[in-house]
Amino acid sequence: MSHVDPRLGENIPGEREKRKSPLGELIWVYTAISEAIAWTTMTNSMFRTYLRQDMLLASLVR
Amino acid sequence: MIGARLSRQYSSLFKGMTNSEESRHTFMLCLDPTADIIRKATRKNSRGFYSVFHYNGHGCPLPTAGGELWVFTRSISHYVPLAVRILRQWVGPRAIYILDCSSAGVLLPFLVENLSDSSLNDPEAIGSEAGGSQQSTPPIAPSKFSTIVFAACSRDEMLPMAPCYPADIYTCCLTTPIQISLQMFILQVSKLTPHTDLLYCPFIYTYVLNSTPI
Repeated sequence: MSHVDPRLGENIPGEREKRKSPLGELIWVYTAISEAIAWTTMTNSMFRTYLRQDMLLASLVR
Repeated sequence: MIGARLSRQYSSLFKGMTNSEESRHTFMLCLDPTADIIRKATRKNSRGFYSVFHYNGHGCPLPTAGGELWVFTRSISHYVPLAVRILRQWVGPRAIYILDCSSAGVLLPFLVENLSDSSLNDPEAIGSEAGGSQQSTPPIAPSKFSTIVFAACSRDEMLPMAPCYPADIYTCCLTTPIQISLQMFILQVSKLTPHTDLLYCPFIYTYVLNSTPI
């Protein structure tokens, strides 16, 4: 695998908000997984605070 | 270069937000800032919402045990300390601090301690927060969780400095997790091939050694 350039990871095609693009699909899956983990580990109020109250904070916490 | 990429990362985060509430987010890029520039930038923060203070301390001296960051003088010739307590008064009570610098944990006690300053308990900020969020989730008590700190490492740790990894790897993990994880995966797999200096990177090395689920 040494022939693969690590920069490849930076340039995934697509846009964040378009689920039909590769990057959008990856982010969608990632959001689902991370929020499921958060829902099972955090308390309800913590979950609301960190992941539902502020979109920017949520995207950082994920 | 890091600053340009950081603003691109943040703007790509903002692009997905079309709510009227969230589109009020603005961000300001301060490259090699003096204390004055930071004060002006934090003055126009939006009341009631979180302000993000993102400190990229690459190439700067370490933050001091007295709770001070390093900023530039006016002529960009020397570093001068900027106390975190003063910074907190500028940024306001509802703030997210992202400290991407070596031994960032030194600043943590200064950021989470309660300031008795009245400016940190601004009733205006609390009121506009309660009125602003019309979602189904009730607004939380403003005293709780109102300051959130993301620190890259603890007080006696250094950030990895291997040239094969991006210098702002912590920032990347926060803002563009998919991209950086793919990059790391490629690097970790290619470590099995010779001539790769993984031992230069203590972060990844320890991560591989104790990769226990949280």
